Amino acid sequence: MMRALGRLLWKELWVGWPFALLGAALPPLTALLIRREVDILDIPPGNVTLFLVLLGLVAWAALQGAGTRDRCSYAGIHFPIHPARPALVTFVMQLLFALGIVGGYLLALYLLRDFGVLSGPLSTRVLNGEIRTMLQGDITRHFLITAFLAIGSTYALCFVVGQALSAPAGIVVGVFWVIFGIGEGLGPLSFGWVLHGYDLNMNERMPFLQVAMTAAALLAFGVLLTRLAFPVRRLLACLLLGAVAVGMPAYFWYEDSRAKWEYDVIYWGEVDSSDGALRLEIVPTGENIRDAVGLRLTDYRRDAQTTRPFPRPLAPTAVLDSGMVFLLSQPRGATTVTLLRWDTAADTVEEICAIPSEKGLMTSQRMRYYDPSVNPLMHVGPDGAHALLLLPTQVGDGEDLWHVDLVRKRARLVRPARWIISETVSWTDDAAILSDNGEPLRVDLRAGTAAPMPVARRER
Amino acid sequence: MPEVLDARRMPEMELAYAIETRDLTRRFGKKVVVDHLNLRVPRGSIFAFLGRNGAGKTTAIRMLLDLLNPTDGEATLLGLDSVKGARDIRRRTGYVAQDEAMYDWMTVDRMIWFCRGFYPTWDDALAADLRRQLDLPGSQRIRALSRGKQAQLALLLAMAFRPELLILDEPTAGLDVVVRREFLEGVIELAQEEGRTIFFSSHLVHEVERVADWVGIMEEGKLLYCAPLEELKASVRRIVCTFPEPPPTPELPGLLRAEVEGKTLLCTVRDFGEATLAAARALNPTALAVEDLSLEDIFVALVGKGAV
Repeated sequence: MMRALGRLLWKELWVGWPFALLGAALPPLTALLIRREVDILDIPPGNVTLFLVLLGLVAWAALQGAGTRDRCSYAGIHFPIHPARPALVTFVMQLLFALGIVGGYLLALYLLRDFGVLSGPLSTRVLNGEIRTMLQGDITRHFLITAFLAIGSTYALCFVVGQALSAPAGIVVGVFWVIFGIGEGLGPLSFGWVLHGYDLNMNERMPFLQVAMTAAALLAFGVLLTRLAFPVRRLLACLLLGAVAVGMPAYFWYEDSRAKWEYDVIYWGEVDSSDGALRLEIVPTGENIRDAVGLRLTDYRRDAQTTRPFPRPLAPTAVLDSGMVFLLSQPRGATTVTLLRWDTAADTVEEICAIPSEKGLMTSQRMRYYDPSVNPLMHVGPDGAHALLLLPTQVGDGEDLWHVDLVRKRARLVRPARWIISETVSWTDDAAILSDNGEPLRVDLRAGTAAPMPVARRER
Repeated sequence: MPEVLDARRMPEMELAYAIETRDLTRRFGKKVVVDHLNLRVPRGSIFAFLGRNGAGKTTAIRMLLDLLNPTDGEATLLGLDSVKGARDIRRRTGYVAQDEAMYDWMTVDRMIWFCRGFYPTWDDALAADLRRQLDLPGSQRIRALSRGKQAQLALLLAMAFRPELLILDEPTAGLDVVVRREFLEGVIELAQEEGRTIFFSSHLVHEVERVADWVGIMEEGKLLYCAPLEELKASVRRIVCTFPEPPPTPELPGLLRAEVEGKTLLCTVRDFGEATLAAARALNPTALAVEDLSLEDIFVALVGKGAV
């Protein structure tokens, strides 16, 4: 038995070593060529090399898979061993070769860098993408994760498709897989955004997709080695791979859409009152997270808490020392945002006014996380009768400054489309002065106008 | 369609069978490629498995060797179930496939060394003898060998571990006449030395007549005939009747084929006997003769167009 296994291993070594050697030699050769100012497309060269290596791997895996198809290899047909064993040995050995190629590729780049071959601007270019990412973290961890998942999933996928269908089918699927499945960091060749939208954080899920694809490919490979009729085996293998290839991205889309709902409250941690005695925070409501969010006000002085659910999307803007909470809400599809006042003592909610706004202002369309450009800022006067509210503008860049008359329940736009960075507001009977932004801005609360405040220069 | 004479109808003989199938069937979709095959190959025989291209011979062989799952039925080789005992069967059975796909990057010697590792019964001396007899160049890569030499190497590899059963699937396909003849003669010579069973498929009927002692004929997945060659040749004969007028429509028992050449009627019949002869005489021919047929003529009469 061991002698037979030895023969099979010998065969794989004999077949595979030129491929492994070529793969290991290709990256430094390419890098050196690039060093000679040979421009390949306009793509980060390190990634081009990796891409080429992966394409070589795809072709090889698909051919190897097709070669073991339907127990048709010489060893599988003739020798008194389990027909699956030659295919298994081929699979494992070729997978090891593939991993060795990536190892050789990375090692070559490190060596070239250490010897100063990759210096200057080229270093930045070559080490872009995957390599840069790897250099920034723990090398071993990144090597194991990136190399094993990317190469393992690619090899397994192409081998199985090659075995189940044909070598060309394996190559086509493999090329798509390289571009879409592991195309992160392959520069312009990456079409990962098709899968991920604009949310780069989705990249974190790629390892899961690769793990799932590897597992599905291994399972499909197992199916192909069973005694089921070949069309059935082929069908099952394709179903398995197809389910993962289509299902996982679809699942990510679904998860992402849920996550979007989850984050459509403009992110904030906690809001404290100015005296620090009150704290407002988000709590689980126990209801459908897509529809409602719970707000809890903790009064440390009285050691009391008040919790109330609010419809999404929602953005808390201010907590007064009196326990009054101001919130912005925007029904889906509405072109206004509504300013709400939650009297936590009486636990009543009152609508103050509706302010014209961009549709979907409070719903994060592309970003799952906090976007400071849509963070509303509200300052409430000490008498509780006036407030200033900063909202993202509807036209151009900057923010609109709104004056809200909390007694008459109306809002007036006092300064549109300007960048106003103000943490400090001083209040008088008839005006509010925003400072900290270089030039103080005076808002006339009666006239509803705003103008820069001239600053008297002190004579020396 | 002639009546099927299969193994179940054969008289019981005091023989053990190297291959025995029971209703072995294989369908690909709706197409029945092998249809309830009941085959018995006596031990020690040289069994020619004949049929036209696409008759189902290779499919049947692949099922025998557990390379293809039967849709129905079962098979035993050397007394072992073809599925459960597949590994043991391979240990005792040599197989040369049609268009054998060997590792063509290996040299002849390397291929022999490689295969040797899988068989405990591998006989180095026999392998060396065979290589010398077949004049195979040890240092040459397989891809550089002619098709005939490749077929001979495949035969060497199939025989060097001294199998009890040798299965050859169209081993001479693609070879020229001279090589084909040399190959077949070589096979028989080598096989007969040890009295092993040889089961080989072919559609080149005239080539196998000289070497086979048993014949099975397949057509459209069905076994039409399975018998010793001499019995088959004695059973299927041609009756030549000459008439003064254009010949009448013959009505003979076991009539397979009837042809008219002028005033001569040529009738190929099976199960030839006194009854057939009497029926022929009843047609009142002016002259009557009985001719032996070659295996090829018999084959054509059984499966060719024009068969009654």
